[in-house]
Amino acid sequence: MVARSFDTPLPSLPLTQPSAKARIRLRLPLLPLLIAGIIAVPILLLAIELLTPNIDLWAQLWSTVLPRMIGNTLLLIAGVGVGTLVIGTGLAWLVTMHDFPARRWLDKLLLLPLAVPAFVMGFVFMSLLDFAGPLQTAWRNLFGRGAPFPDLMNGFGAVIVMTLVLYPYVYMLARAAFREQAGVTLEAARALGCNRRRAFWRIALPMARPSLAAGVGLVLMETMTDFATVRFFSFPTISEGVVRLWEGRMDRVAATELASLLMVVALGLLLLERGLRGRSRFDQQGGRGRVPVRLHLGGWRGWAAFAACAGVLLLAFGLPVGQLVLWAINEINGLIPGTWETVYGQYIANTFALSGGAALLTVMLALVLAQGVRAWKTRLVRGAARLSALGYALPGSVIAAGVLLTLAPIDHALGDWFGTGLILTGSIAGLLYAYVVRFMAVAYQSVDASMCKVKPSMEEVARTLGASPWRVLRRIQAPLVVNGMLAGGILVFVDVMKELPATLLLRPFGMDTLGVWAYMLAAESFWQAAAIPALTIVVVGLIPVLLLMRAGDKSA
Amino acid sequence: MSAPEFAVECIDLTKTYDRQPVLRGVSLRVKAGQIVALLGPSGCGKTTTLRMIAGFETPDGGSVLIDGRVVADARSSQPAEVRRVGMVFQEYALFPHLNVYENVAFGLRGNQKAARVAEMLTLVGLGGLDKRMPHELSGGQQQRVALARALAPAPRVLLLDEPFSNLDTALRAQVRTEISAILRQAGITAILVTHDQEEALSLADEVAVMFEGQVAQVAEPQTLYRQPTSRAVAAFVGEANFLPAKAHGMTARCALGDLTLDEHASGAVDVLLRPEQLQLVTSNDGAGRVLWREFYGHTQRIGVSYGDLALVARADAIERYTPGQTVNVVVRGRARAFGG
Repeated sequence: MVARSFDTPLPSLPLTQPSAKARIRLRLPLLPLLIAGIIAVPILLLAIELLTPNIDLWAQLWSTVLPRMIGNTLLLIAGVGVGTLVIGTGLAWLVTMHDFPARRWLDKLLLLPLAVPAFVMGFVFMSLLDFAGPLQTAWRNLFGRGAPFPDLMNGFGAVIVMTLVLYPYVYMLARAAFREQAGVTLEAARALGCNRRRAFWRIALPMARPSLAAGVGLVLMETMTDFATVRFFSFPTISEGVVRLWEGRMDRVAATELASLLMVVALGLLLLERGLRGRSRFDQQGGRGRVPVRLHLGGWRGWAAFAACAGVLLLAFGLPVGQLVLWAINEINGLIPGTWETVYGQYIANTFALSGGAALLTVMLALVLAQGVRAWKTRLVRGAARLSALGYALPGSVIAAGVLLTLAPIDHALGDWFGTGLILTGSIAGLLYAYVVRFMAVAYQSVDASMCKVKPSMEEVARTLGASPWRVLRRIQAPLVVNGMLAGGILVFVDVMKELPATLLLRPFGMDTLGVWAYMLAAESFWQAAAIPALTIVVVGLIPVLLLMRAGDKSA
Repeated sequence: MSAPEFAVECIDLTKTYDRQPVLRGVSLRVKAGQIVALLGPSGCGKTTTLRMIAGFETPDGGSVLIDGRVVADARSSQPAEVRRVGMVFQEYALFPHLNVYENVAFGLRGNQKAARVAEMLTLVGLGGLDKRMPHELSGGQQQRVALARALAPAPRVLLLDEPFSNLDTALRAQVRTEISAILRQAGITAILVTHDQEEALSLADEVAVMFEGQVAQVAEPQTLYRQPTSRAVAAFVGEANFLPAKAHGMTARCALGDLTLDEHASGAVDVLLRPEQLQLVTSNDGAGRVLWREFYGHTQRIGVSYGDLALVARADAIERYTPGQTVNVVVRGRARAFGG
């Protein structure tokens, strides 16, 4: 009757030693510590570099470009920080607490700009704002030839562009925070005589502070890493300076010095974010699972809310993507068939190989690291894992400088002994290293989250059902963790694809990616030609955004 | 081969963690087809005992027998996967990536899998939900899937670890009745761990009360409640009034008068009177005074001061008692004496 023949008497079963456990443990967490160490070295070397400053160099930088760079960097951080905070929080409050036309759609669609890299947005806007571009043309048609058009090709324009691409980070986290607290806490506030506006300022906003700080933190990390957008808008920042010194003047020593300064700014921001987050927790007990009662916005108010959301979406996604599509179509029609496909194919192959390799490598290392933290539970391993996640807060150019500092001596040593050339710094190895340092946190988080889903009791229950440790690994642990690895892999893949500064600085000769190609063409004002690689990046970048939208569906 | 008398036997189990003794000689025998509850406060070792029977923990001393065969002792221990023991966890531990069918079928092999799964799902009243994912089920349904999954490979004994504590109170009584019916229908030997005395008393054929790593008493629910062997057991399995008394043979004299004992005793004792044994009779010159009343609907609890005693009585819902009112206290049934 029972499929598994339990009715026949069991043969006497072998007794195993109680100490023979399914898990194999090493004495020391060597592998995790080694991985964390390798990832942390570039950051540490750069920090050491900072302690031994080259005074002459700094004096020269200070007397020329440095004050302006620092000023611009701070202005950009302040502008984009405030801009994304206001737009992201405002939109999140609108869609979680109010009801208006197309709300359900806009709720998700507002995440779309995440797929657009800032520099792509930058060059599209540069063209739109150009004298011959559609905006100025329309302006002249409307107000006459001499009408002064507001000058946006400056820091102000850069702030607007970056705010438009980056607000979804704040939006996403603010929305989650409002949703979580909305049901119970806000109703409690209103029962105490607080109206909606007061409840927003007094309850919702302070409660969401940790989420908002985290969102703005992510925004500013992206802001700091950008050098291309600010270059398009002639607003040089420290990040731009590092790339200029390195790539333009081939002065890697000066670039490294400047990068260490940029690292200080980035770490300062990280500390600020931690401070703002404070000790408050993200979630609230007992406040989950209730859908807030949304305020219905009727008549013009509803349409105004719709217009606000749709307007942001149009500016931040519809307009740039539409322009890219138009350019791409024109470009394809104008090209000689048969030739551009091979060129394009080569870039695609380069990009996918790099992104795929980096994703695979990062996820595998993250797996070992996460398993190590789980198996040993010591402060040492946990601290090492945290240190290895630091790269995510650092701009790509900083990491490129750190990787160079790490690998150059090794290269020289190898050269001295074996007479080889720059086999590490001049090859894909250096680039992959930089990607792992930069995006370890992304992979680690996904893998770790999926490992948390495998509770010890699941393993135990599987064993009472007669499953061998191997079957438990194959049927229970692996499928649950594979999803996390896949998710982490996709995120790293797309992040690498969108990454520009480290790729530009460390790429081996002839190893151009879609991003580098698009950037180079755009920098030379070949916008139409840049559209095809740029659009490819956006399309691939949509994958994780769509996954994010679906995940939101499930939890809502 | 004749069936052994006991499905599960624990003999003098000991276990120490970090020099802290958790089990200090636990012995327990479970007859085939019986439901036994391990009842005790948290940290008493009941879960460790259960996990030893399952094969997740190894004893430092003593032995575990299933169907008369040693599966674990101080020297060796059979791994959990060959013990044919079913387990239902507090948090159910359903496999989140497998649907209901796949969860229940996990422990099955061979070509009659589908029939067995269908049989199990019908048994737990979830027929037709095969394709649902765990997160699409209610808490009660998830628990029944966990139960079906544990029962499917026809285990020799089913272990349940605090199976009802994740359910809200309103649902708990109903689910308890359902699970009880399913277990009886399946005719399975089951060991249930709980800290809830009501759960243990209502569900089990026998209850083993555990304190500090030892079994204090094993008895049928009613015996346990009426004839506990220690004050600690008496207080843990239900509300208790202890009155100082002087015993002589089958009677004891206390502030409430002469009581009949259930066993011989002599000398200074404390007698146990359950709240429902105290009957309150409204009387203007009664020696008792009502202090407070809690009304539950089906019953009510009344606090009474009697001389310098503070008593708790339980009555049906018919009479109305108001604080300040005077009453006489009449004792029903026999009292149990504990030597001072």
